[in-house]
Amino acid sequence: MILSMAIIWGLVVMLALITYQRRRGLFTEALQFARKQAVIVLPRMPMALIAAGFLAELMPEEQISGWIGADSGMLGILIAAGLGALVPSGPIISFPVAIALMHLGAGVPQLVTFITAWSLFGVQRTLMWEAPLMGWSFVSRRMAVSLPGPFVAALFAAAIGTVIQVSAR
Amino acid sequence: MAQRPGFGRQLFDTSFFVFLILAVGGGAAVYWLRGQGVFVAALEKDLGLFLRIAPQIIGGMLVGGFISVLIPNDVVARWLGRESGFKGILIASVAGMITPGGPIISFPVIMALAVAGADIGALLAYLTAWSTLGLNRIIVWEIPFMGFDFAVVRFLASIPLPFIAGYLVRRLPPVKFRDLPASSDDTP
Repeated sequence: MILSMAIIWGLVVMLALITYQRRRGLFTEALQFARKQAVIVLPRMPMALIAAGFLAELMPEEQISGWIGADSGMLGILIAAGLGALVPSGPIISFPVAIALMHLGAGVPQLVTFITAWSLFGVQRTLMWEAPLMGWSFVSRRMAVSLPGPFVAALFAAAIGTVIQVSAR
Repeated sequence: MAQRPGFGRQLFDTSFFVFLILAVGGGAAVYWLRGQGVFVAALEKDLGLFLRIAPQIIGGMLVGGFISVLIPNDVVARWLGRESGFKGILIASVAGMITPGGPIISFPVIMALAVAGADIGALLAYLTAWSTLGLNRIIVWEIPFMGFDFAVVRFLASIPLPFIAGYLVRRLPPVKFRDLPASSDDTP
């Protein structure tokens, strides 16, 4: 927690100095870029967290941890991949859901699969950006070659887990 | 003064109300089914989480802002150009990894690369690296939410993905891009 805070704000200070040195106008531009994002995200985030937290309370905990828990193996990875692909929105939804799954006892490889599947197959990004800009010919090929992704990542995450002990927060 | 936030999105659009309804509906269901104690405990936990995460998200957005003004997109496009083979995929993966901002930056870059005649393997490597290894999202979202250790493991486990996607797509029939403006012959 303190470490990630230090990393992020250390980066902010470093980049701010570089930007300020290069040209003062750039500094204002960068702040505007950040402000535009923050105005959108900050009001939604507490609600997304609260919604995901409440929904987690309503879920049958034992069942979920049985489905995608640390001992759920390949089936759990398949279920996690399906859940990730179904998350219909951006990081503002997927990460609160990932946290909720973690609290329900999801294993690290299963969580890695969940996030990877969402990253590769997120519906919103495909419909809003990829299909209009690149066309369906591109989309279908990308989907096809992305299919192994969540499973490869799970495999490597499990392998890394056997070498070093990782616990999600 | 009602200034519209950028990116064509408004502060209170449909998604805002979807979140609101989910939060209120979820809260009501918890209160009703599980009782007041569970409701208050969950609310306190999530608000505490928000207070811990928010400063990091703000920092992450500032990082994105500074990087977006420091690295011009045309430089990225030039590096990727018409390379192919392992080198093209490698360069594309690293470029995707460091591209700041959301889809509003990455997809225009991919479009520009396609017009410039970039190899499809490099395009897929770029897109896959941006979506699974993107440092911007890791800094803004993943580390604050999931912790540093988890982010590192997921990052390491995802390193092969752009290469797999890039090499696999080269074996498929070529993509027909529609509506691509005819690219002027600007190769040196």
